[in-house]
Amino acid sequence: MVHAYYRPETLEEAQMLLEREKDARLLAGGSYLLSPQFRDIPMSAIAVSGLLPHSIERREESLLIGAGVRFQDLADSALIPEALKHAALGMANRNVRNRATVGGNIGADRSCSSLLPFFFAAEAVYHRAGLNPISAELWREKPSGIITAVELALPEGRAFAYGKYSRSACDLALIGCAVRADLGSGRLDNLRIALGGLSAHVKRFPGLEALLEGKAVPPRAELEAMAASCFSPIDDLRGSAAFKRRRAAVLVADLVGSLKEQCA
Amino acid sequence: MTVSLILNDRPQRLECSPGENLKAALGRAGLVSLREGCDGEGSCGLCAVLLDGRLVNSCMILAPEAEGRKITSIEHFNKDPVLRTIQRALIDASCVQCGYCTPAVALAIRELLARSTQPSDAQIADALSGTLCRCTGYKQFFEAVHLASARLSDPGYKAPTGDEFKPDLRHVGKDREKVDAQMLAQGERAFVEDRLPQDVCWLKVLGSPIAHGWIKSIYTAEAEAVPGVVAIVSHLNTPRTLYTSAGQGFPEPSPYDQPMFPRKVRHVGDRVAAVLAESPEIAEEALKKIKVEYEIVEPVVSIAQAKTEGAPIVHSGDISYASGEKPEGISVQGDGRDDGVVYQFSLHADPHRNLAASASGGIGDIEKGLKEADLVLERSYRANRVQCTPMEPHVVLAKVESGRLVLHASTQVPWHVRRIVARAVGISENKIRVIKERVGGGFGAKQDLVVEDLAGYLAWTARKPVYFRLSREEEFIASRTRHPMDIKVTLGAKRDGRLTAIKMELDADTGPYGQHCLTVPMNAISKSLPLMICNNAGFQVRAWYTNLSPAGAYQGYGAPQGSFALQTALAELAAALGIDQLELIEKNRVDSGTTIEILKSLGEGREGAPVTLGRCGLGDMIARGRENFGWHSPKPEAPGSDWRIGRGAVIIQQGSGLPGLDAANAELRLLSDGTLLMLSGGADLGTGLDTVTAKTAAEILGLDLEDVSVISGDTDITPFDKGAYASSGTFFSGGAALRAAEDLRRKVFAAAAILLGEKPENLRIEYKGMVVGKKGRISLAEIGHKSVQGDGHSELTGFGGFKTEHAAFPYGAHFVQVAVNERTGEVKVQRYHAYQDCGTPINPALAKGQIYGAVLKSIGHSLYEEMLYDKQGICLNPRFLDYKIPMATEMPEDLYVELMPVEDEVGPFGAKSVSEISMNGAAPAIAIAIHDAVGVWMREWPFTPERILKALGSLD
Repeated sequence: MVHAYYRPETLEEAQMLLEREKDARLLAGGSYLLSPQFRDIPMSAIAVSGLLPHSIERREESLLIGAGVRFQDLADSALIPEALKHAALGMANRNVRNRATVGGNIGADRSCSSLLPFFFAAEAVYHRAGLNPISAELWREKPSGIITAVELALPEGRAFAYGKYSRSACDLALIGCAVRADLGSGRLDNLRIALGGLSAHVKRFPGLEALLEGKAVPPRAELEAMAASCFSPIDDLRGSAAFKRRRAAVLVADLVGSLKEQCA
Repeated sequence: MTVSLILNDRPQRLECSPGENLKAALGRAGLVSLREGCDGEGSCGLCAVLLDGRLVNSCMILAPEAEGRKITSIEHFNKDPVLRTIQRALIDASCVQCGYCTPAVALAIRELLARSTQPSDAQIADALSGTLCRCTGYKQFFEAVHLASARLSDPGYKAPTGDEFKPDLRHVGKDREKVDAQMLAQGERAFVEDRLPQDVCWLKVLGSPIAHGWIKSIYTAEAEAVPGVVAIVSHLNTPRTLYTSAGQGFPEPSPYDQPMFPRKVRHVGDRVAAVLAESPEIAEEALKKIKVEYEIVEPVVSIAQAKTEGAPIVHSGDISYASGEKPEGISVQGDGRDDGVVYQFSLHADPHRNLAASASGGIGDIEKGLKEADLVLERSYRANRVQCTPMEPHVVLAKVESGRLVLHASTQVPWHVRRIVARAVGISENKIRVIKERVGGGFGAKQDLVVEDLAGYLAWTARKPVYFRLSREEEFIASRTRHPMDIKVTLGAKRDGRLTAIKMELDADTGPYGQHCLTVPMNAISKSLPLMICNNAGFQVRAWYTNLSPAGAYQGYGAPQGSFALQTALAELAAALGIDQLELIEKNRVDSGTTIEILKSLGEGREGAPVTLGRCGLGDMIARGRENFGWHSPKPEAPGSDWRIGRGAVIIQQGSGLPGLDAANAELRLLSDGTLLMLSGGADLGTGLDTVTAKTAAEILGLDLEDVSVISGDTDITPFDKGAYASSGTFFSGGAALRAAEDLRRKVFAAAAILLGEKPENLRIEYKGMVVGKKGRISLAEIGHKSVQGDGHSELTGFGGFKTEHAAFPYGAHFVQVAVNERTGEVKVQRYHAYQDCGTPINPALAKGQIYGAVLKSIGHSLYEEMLYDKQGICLNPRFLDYKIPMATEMPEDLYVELMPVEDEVGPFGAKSVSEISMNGAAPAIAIAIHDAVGVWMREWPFTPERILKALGSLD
């Protein structure tokens, strides 16, 4: 329940309001903050979508995505890696994608997030207003500052894949998974695997990454078994723990396998 | 605060509070087209606007965020030729059913065509991905987009004509514009929510947080002290009259087992108290201040538990019978604490054992049939609880005018509403007027009184206009759901596939109250068993009280569950015998001239009788499906190495109203300029019934559709009609309209005979509106004019009443192709073909729209729709976030419908029903196709990936 609405002129002013108002929340697209779960929670909304960069900039070996970029723009951009487009299109439906922003998705920090598995796997760096850049994972552990952009390193030979499991096409990601690896050697170097839907927040699985690091892609069944042994989801209305474990393992195996195909 | 924006090209300043959403602010600015189906969750898209040209949900945007922005709504159509073209295309493609989503769909297409003038189907699906529609199945939206695109690039573009039937008739069997389509496509005031007076008061209910328990005390003083509270009611200060909420003909085959407020709550969301207040916010604030103390009772959360000896008793009051003898051997003495249960006649119930109703019957000797069989197959099937999810929840506006109670209702049964509200409120029927507004989706849920009794009572007692609309969560847990059923099928067959015995034993979960508790489970039998001819056939039906959400009518009315069980069992039998499934069906199915003996034990609320079929089109439909679907053609390549392709087919049937039980009436007036006013009792809930009655009149009197206006479902103005249920609309209400038109024609001929000096038998009607005889001709306009002159022959009015003992069965054959992923358990419905007989299709494209909608709904039911509960009876997914219904992106790539009419002897112009039957095919056809793909029989639906993996043995 929003009881006060602020439209700051600058990000500095927004930061000041954020510190001043006890119940302040940054409002970007509003797809999360205006959902029914917040209806009874008093909050002061600080509107920042007009202040956040809306541009997508390709640099030599990296990509800078403004925090104000909307999901549909991300999906429509020619600069964006296919796997990230896929992740962006995984967000609900066009009405929501027309409104939801990159920054908002990061701030919401939901386990079903469309983008966070990708950002975690890609070891994205968040740029912040008036503060030093910070890695996506560190920010998740200790959120601070207003994120203005997301930087993705895209060196030669780096491959990404994203996939999700949902009950219907426009459903949220019950399991979202992104993987990344450098494939120059034909092996899985610098492998990163991140999943949402298996715990309260999106997270990487370093144990699984370590099992596979520097190796050729193992046979699918073996990979599935390795992945399944690393997951400990819970039973809930969206599926039993056993089902989620299996489904996540299949997703990981398929996505890592698709990296191999990218290499070929 | 003030927000300046450009609304539909005009600068506008909106006053709003900081937390107000854009939808609410625009509503106050006068927009009526922004609908709501998800309570601000952002999942239905019905409140969509274009914000700087992009489609967004206005409920998910704070009004202050619109500062300086440009907003376009459907109301802009008169200044936007593209939007107007889209609206016209939606109408011409017969997309407008209930119309609740149409403005949002039009805007989604507007955004799409702005970025792509000739979009692909994938782009169309994506554009519509945020808009929920429960009526249409989306198929015709795609056609509308292509039509709009073609017209925008070539204004002279002529769309190809659709299928046509009955070449001897001008309107019947041809596509014509649905009579309410334009109004709905333009987002005009049409629904209950559009009728609110300035001084309206808001009604909110305090729903029970527990599934089962006694209300020990209710403390309302603090709530009453909230300024703006008008009244607070509970079981302490409302009538104790018992009634049923089932909108069925009297005497109902449903127990009277609920007062307005119960002393004992029987499900989460059951009525505990209600607040009437000057604003919804005040009502909600007051609700929070009501203190209730409960004595919790263990809830009954499954059929198995309800049946168990010593289970908690859901209804423990006195049991009585309004007529007939009480069945022997059952307990009728209540505990002196609970409200009673009154049966209008015996339903073979035993409520103190949680048995709400039961029935059994059959023909021949099942045991003998099983002994004669070479193979006996016994299988159990389960259908779980699903929600009807009309996009417009249950809603009513009740007010007192000139000493009478007036209900603006979104209902399928205006006359049953009048009768039941009269009983509940304690006033006579002449004091009540029910006006059926446009209904934003009913699907059976609005055959029941979920809101009208309480709103009516408060309007009558508080003398205030009362607006009562369920939230989406309340719609899920406290309106009506489909009965879960456990069905055991036993089949006996010879080696060649000839059936020697069929037995169906069915247990249904009626929830906390018994509306439709006997008739829905019985329909599961009576719309599945009679498809197969077997001399030894029988059934047993039992409906059980539980403490889960109330069950009731839902499109198909039990037939989908029965069809799933029997058709899947027949396929299992065919597989066990090594016979092609369709060959087994062909060996045993009904055919032209068959006498269906089992129907003598399947009467609904009365004795049944065997029926001898006239012509049955099933053979043609199966043959056509075999050929056109390619039943025996090689399967296509699977979409990947983990995927397997499978096919399934079923035959289905339904009825057309309730012969001998129901009735419909219509009146047709000739106006002074030769046009017509149709007064139909029928309740059009988006199906196009008003168009059927208008067409009937135009056909008989030789006019165009524009010459007929329809008023329907107003208990003061239009004559009695049983309502829109049991697939009765076209057959009964359309039949009444036809008889009214024929009656008016007779009177017109009598009048014209005098004016022309001819014998009436020498007269005929010619287009347009001319009465032609041997000596001369005279127009309807002239006859109409003379009829209202002082020296005339008085106003000409035709009246038609329709009732019949004739049973008109529509039949169908559905074919499906699925891809099943062996590793993930996912199922994709790739192709779905429906070959159906609805008798003469009065309006073919609208008939097809009904079928598309029902098919996609039933695909959703088959694959993922399911209400989930915890052990305490709390629904875990009462919203669209976790209860998914099909969107445009779920439509099979090849969704095909073919109408194969077999004219009925009694129905208007040979018509039968069309909509409900289409719900009966998907679940068994998909189950059979899954087996064909991966070799496992799915006996519980929905067929979720988790259930499929378990069946495959891939998951413990």
